[in-house]
Amino acid sequence: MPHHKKHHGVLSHHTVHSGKGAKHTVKLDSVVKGDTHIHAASHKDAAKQISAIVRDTMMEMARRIHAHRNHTKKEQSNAFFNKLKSDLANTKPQAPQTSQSTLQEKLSRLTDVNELSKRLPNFARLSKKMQPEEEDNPQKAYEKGEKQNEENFQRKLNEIQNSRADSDFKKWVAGIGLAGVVDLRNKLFASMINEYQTAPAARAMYGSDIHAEGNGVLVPESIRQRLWTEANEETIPILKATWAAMQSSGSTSGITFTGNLARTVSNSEEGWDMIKGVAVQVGLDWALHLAGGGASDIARTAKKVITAAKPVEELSEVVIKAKALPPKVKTSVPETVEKTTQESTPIAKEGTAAKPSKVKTSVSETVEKTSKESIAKEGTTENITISPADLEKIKEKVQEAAYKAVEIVGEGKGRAYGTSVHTEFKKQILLLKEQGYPVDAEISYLGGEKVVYGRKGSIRADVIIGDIKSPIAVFDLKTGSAKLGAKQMANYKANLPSSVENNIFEMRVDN
Amino acid sequence: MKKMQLIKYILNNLSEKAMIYKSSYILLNPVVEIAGGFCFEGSATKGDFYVSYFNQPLYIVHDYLHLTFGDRLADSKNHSCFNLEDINEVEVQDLLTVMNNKIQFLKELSDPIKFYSYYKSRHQGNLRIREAVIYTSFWLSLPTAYDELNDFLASFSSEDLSILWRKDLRDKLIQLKEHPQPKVLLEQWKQETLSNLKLNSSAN
Repeated sequence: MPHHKKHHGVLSHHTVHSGKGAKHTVKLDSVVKGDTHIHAASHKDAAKQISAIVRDTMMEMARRIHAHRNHTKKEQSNAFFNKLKSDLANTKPQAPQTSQSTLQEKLSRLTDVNELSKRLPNFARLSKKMQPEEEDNPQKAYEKGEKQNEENFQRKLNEIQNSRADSDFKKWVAGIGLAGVVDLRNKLFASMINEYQTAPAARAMYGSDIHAEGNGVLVPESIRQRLWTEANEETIPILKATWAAMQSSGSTSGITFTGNLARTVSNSEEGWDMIKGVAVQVGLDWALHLAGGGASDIARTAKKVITAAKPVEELSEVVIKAKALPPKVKTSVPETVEKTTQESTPIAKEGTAAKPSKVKTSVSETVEKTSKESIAKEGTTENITISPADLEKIKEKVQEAAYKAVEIVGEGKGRAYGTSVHTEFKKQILLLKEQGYPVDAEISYLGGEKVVYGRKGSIRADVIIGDIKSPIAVFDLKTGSAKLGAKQMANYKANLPSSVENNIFEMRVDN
Repeated sequence: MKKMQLIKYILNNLSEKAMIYKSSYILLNPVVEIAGGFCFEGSATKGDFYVSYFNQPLYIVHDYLHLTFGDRLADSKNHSCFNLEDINEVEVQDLLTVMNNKIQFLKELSDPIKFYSYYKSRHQGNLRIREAVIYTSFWLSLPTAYDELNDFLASFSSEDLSILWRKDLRDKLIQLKEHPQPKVLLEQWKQETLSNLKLNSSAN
C-alpha cells in the first residue's frame, strides 16, 4: 500500500520504500510527469506496484478522455443542430455574402490537402507505415496512398449513382463530388485529432512538438494512423447520415431520419444492415461526430432542403429499393417493387474536381481559390459514365418504352399515326427520366451544342442517353416505312456532340 | 395560357428583378461577359414546353443563344415537361421556386473566374466545353492558357475535321493562339456576339 499518496487529479506522487526502510523516488515522467512514492518489501515488489500504478493511471486517463469525448460529442451535437437549423433557414438564394466567402475561404484553407499536409507533417509518415514499400520516399507514399483513397471514394460515389438510392440524394452527392468528399474526410480527420489534442492532460501524455498542428500536442502516430483509417472509412457513411439529417429537419433520430437514411442505401450490404437497424446507429454516431462544422458546411451547399417529413409508410418501400437485396427480403415485397429492386438504375456521375494548376498572377490565385469554393450547386448533371452492361439495360428500357407507346396509341398508319407514337414515346421516356434513368427526350443540337427546339439547321434526337451536354447514345424513332437514311445520319453526325457520333440508332416500332 | 403570358408572369415574379425578356429567353441583366438565364423551349407536342437554365460565354462568337452550359429544370416532382394548357397555379409556383433556386448558380457562373473553375473539371470530353474553358482561360489571361490550348490542339488531331463546326472550332483556336493580343481579339468577338444577339444595349 502506498505510504503517502497525494492526488492531483489523475497524476499522483508516490514514494517507493523498499527493503529495510530504504527509500527510492521513482520518476515516471515519461508517463504522468509526477513522482511516485511506494512502500515495498523489495525492488521487485516496488516494480509490480509501479506497474499497477501506471496501469491505473492510464486507465483513469483513458476514462477521462472517453468522458471528455462523450461530453464533446454532446456539445457538438447541440452545435450541429443549431448550425443546421440556421443553415436551413438561410437556404433562400441570395447574393454571396462576405461572411460566407470568408468562411469558405477559411474552410478551403482548413481542408486543402496540401495545406493540411503542411500542418500535419505526420501525414507522410502515416502513409509510409501503411505502404512500407514506399518508405524511402514519404511524399510519394503519401501521394500513392491518397490516390488510392480517392479512387475508393470515386468508386463509392459511382456506386451511389448506380444504385437505387434517392435521386435527390444522388444529385446532392454529385454536387459535392470527389473534391467535396475529400474535404469532408480531411475535416473529419482534423476533428478527430483535435479531440485527442484537447483532452485533459493530453500534452503531458503525448508531449508536444512545434511542428504539430493545432495546439501543438503531438498525438502518437499509431493513433493518427488509426484515425486516418477511420476517417477514410467513415466519410461516405457520414455523408449519407448528414444528408438524411438534413432531410429530417436536422433530426438524427426517429423514423423520419431512419427513412431518409434508407433513401441513401447504395448497396446490398447496406440495405441489409439498414433492415437490421445497424447502419442507423453507425451513421448517427458519425453524423454527430461531424459537429465541428463539416455537416453544416455541406448543408450550405445543398441544392434544396426538403423539410417535409416523409411518411412512415415510405420506409419499407425505400429500403426495398436497395439494389440486389438478399432473396428473403425480395420475397417479402410486392412483385412490382421486387422487379424494380432487381433492376439497376445505371447512372454514374463523376464529381471529380482536378486540382487547379499553381499560378502566380492575382487572377490565377482567384481562380485557384474559386475552384476550392463551393459554387451554388448546379444540382443536375455532372459527368455521366455508364458501363456497357448498363447501357444495354437502358437501351432495353427505351425499347420497352417504344413498344408501350405503340400499344397505347393502337393501330394506325401514316404521318398522324407516327406523330401520335412519337408523342406517347416522349411521355414514356420522360417517365423513365423521372424514375432516375439517364435519358431525355426531344433534344436539339446544332454544331455540337445543345440548342432550343426548332433552331434553324438543328437536328432533334427523339431520345438521348447520358448527359444532354455529352450524350453517349441517340435514338431516332421510326414507324411505318420511315427509315433513318444516310442523309439524316450525316446530319446527326454533323451536329451532335462528338461523344455520341458512333452511337446513333434507329429505333423501329411497328404495330 | 399562352407561352408569352407565362414567361411574362414568371419574369414579374422571379426573385431577381429587371431580367431581360427576349423571345423565349429570360436573361440576367446586365449581360457582361457571360450571359445567364432561362429558356422556354417548345416541343413537337402542342403546348408542351421545357425550361432550361444556361450560361453562355459571349467572347465565343455566336449568332444565337445555346443551352450547352446548363440543363433542363425539373420541378419538385421531377417533371421536366410542362403543358401550357394543363399547368396550374401550384405548378407555376413550383416552377418559379425551382427557377429562383437556380438564379444564384447562374449569377455565379456569369463570372468568368467561376465559370472557368466550374467547367475546367467537368465534361472535358465535350469539345465545346473544352473550347469554352480555353477561351475563358485567355479571357482571364491565365498563364496556363497557351498550354491548355496547345494540349487541346494536340488532341484534336484525332477529330474528324470534315465536320464543319469542328474545323471551325480548331481554326478559331489557332487564330487565338497566333494573335498578338488574344484578349483584344476576344473582346472583338464578344462585341460581335452581342451584336448578333442584339444585346448591345444590355451589355456593360
